[in-house]
Amino acid sequence: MAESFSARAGGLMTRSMAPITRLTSRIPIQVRYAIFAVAVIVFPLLIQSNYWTRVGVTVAIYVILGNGLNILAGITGLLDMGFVAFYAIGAYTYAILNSAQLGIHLGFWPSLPICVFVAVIFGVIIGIPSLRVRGDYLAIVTLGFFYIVQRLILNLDVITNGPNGISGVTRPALLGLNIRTPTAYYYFYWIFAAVIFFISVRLLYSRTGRAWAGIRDDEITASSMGVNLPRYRVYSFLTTAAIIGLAGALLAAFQAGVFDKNFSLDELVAVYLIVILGGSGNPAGVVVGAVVYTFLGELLRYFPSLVQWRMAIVSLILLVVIVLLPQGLLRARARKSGTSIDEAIDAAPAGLASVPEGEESTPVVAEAENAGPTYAAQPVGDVLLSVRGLSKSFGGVVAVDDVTFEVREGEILGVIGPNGAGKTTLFNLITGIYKPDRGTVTYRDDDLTGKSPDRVAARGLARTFQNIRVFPQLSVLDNVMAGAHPWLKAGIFRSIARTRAVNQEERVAEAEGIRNLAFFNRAVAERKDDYVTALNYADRRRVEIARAMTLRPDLLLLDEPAAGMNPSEVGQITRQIRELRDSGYTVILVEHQMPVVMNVSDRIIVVNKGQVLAQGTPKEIQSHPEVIAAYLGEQADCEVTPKPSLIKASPLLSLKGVEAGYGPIKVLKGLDIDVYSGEIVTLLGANAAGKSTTIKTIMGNVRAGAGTIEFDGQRIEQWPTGRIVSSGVALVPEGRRVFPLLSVLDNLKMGGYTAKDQAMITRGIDRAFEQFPILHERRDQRAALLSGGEQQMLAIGRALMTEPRLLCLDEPSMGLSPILVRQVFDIIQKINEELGTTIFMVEQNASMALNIAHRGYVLQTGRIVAADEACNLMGDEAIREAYLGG
Amino acid sequence: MTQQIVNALTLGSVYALFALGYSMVYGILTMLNFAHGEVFMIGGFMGYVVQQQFLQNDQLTANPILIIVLMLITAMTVCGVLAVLIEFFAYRPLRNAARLAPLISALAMSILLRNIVGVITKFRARPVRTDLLLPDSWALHIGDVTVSASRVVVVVVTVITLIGLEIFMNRSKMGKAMRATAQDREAASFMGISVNRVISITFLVGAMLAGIGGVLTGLYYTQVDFAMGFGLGMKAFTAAVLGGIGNLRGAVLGALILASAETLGATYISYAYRDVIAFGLLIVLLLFRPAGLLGRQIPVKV
Repeated sequence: MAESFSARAGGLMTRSMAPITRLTSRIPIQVRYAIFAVAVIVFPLLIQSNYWTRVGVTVAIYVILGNGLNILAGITGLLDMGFVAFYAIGAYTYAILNSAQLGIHLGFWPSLPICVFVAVIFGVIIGIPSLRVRGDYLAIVTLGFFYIVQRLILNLDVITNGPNGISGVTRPALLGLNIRTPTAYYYFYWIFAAVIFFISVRLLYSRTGRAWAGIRDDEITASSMGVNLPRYRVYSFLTTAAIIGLAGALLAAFQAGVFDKNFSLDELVAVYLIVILGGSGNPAGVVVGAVVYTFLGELLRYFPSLVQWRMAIVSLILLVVIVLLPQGLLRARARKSGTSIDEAIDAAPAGLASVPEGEESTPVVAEAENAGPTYAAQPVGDVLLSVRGLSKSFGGVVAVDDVTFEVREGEILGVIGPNGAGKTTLFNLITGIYKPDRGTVTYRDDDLTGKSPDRVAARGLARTFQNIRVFPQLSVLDNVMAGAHPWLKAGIFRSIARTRAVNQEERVAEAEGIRNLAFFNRAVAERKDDYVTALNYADRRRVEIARAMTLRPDLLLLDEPAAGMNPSEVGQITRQIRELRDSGYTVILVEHQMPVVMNVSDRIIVVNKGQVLAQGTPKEIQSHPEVIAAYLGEQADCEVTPKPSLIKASPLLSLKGVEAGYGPIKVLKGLDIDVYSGEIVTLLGANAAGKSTTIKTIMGNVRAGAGTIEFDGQRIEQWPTGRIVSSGVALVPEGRRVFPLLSVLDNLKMGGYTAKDQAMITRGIDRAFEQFPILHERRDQRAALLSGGEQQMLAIGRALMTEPRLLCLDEPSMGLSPILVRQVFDIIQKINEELGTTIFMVEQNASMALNIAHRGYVLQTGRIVAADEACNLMGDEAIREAYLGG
Repeated sequence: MTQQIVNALTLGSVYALFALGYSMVYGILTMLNFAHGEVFMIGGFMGYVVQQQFLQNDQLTANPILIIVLMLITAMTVCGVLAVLIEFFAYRPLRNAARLAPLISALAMSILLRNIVGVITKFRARPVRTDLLLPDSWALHIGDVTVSASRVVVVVVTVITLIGLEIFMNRSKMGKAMRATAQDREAASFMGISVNRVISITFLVGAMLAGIGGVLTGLYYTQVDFAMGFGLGMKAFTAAVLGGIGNLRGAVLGALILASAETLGATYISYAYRDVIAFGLLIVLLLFRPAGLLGRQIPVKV
């Protein structure tokens, strides 16, 4: 089932990419390079025109410029608007060292390294800010830097000769021959261009290139894979500064002069066009971009009336490309790895788990599903990780509160707890993404408290993420190999030189990465050279785990590895987590699917409200009364009797076969829910079961992929949210989501945004203030200053402003103290009774919800597993199972 | 000293009108709208175009105040419509793309507009006849300081506009919806607010302010040219960041501080390095207090 889905997804990708890839991929890469090289060599001979040869020289300079910018903007994803300053600095340095301006005539070859060096110095100056600012701010800082350099060029007459520029610059010489003719320049500069091209290709497919791409695609993940972010950002700046500084020197030598007009904003846009036109991040694309851009400019010369439109046309093309063809003319292709799967598996050192062929077809599901903790208890070793008194709060909310536990070598420790209990925060504290307020994290004998993620990773702790974080613009194998960063040794220079040692270690990393993929199944290893985005959800999870394994860690921290997987995949991953432990890893596992946790964990700790609630074996935990209470709420007597009289022939809200999800991830798999007028209906289920997605689908914020949603007899599944709200549905969103900077009163008014008339708004405000007098007292305060309970009241009052017939509530009890929880549920019940509002409520606290509801549904991994009257559901085994597993 | 306060106030007014557009768009989309500078410039040219309609034999053919009002209205209309179109065609398709894409798109849009206007105007500056529209005889005399009529108009129009904006943002339903959407886009949509419409209106309002700013800048400097959006735009953005981007009162405060720093710098340090001072301030600011004076730090969500 899983395989057939992945095959379908794969087939779709290949088909849609076929026209581009089929055309070029038949010709081997070396042949393509050779054809281009021959074209470059014969061009001046065929064209026999000094003018066109000079144009060819310009292309060479643009190839160098474009490849320089591509490293910073395309590969590392840092939007530098100041690179033209490096260009100017390289050019002016060359001109000053080789002209009458200061009376120095140093010559071409001695000047070149000086120009590059000076540009690199400025790269350091401008690269340091990149450590502190990102994105738009980096763009503006670098643009400011560019502007300042521009001003200095115009005003520092003594050095730059101001607006007149420097002319009479010495021309280069090679082996005693002066480079003078356009043809000589042409060949001379294309050699430089070729060298820079190959340098950038080698860097792209190296340890450094993967680190850069990691920074571009996902900084936090990159640093969790051991990449020292500041260092690699600065490396990127320096490399770009060096290459562009060189381009500047070449420009000055070619023009035999340098003028402030060479370094305009137009030039900045032109080089961006070159990088983006061909396909950002792709060195070959840059070459295509440089050729197309330059010849486009020449073409315009044949239409004299259009020459003045040049920059308008350039920017229009850039605009059209970025909006309609963001991947450029030459879509970058994923790297083809040199190691085959069989080679990789053969190269496996003894002791590492390798997977026999055809593994993926072995029926493992039933076995794993029913396995239970049947295996012999592993002998547990020394303490590997020790967490003592760890605490962290965010803006007054305590997320992790004095947590202490130990992990011993060779065990699987399950961490469970209700939504918002602090499990992921705990992972983030251990792996250095957050700094703890108090407490220590000790790994073997090392104090890891507050260390940065890359240092934690390098020490041997590898993690995966709850919301899958793969590097979307890298191949599957390059994603996995990103994990090898800490133990690979190649730096920039050795990667460019491709020494034997670098080749050797890259091969080792490739083989290890493929082996780690094949650990899951051969099918995913076979897709090693695809883009990771072509994989389905389950396979991306596998790639994440394989990437973590490639770090060669002792301790694996898996954050919900089974989330979003189908039952057969869940069975597989359950078995594989156990295999991971058997092959020597220690595992900490956060997981909401209780069958998984209960099956594989040697020990479980339960976290609730940031504190450790219980520790023990799976059996002990399943029957632990406090744990059951934490998950289900306190058991209570059933007070509400169903109201059969309310149930009319047709429901107010009706979901039929609703499927929905996010991108490739299907969360709802065919839901049928009916809510009748006047009822309180609750939808129960553990974390990640799809409860919030159900609400968002009803509200029109997530589009239903299949099925129908009817409200009051009308099909609403395609309506925009605004129309759904006006037709009588309102929502109290998860986490309250009041507008923090608006006053209480304005928050209420926003709730009445779709109100039919002013009277309705006035009624709503009066009702809210009557119901919640505290809101009246604080009517002019900003909502951010309210307590959690007050915010919840505000959110309820806000939702009632439009006098909805159906009120949806998403986790109304979350994050509230027990007294407040009771209060909130009382209010909900009162609204139902006094206003007659129909209520559909998603809730984790099953007992409380069932206590006031008439009917309930139980949701498990996107499907309804039980539906009944509330009293019958209370104490139902299906609920306990949905929350705590069998 | 009084003269310098007047100068700083005038310059600050122009920066403020300009900075608000950056700040509003950033507040709602967290994107730097490079093309805003060109919208401002086009506002200036709209003022020029209207002025030309009423100019015959070096004489105005209508009441100068009426002409200025027409200049402002035309600029606001054209800039508003233009900005809504820019958002729709160049930014909306990229709303869920990687962060780099909308920024490049904005940069390209900026260069495109500047060059279109450049070609139409033959890349030359055009005169704004402040001497006729706001004759010297209208100048104010405060003690021994003379305040030209153009400065008075710049400050007065700005103050009126800012009061209008304040009322719009805090009293009107749409203004509150804009603030709500900037604070929590999804929650706003749950209220039935059409997020796309709010974003369009944000661009509209920001551009209308820029249109006013463009006309006033033309009156103040007595000319408009195709490149005026870039340099001033950088400074306006500096002002927006200085006050805490996304914070509208902050943008006005930032504009006044920047204008004061620049005025003092030009007097006591060097006029030629006036811009260098402004950008140096921007760089230092972004490095050490990127949230600005009134802004909030937003924690990273993992």
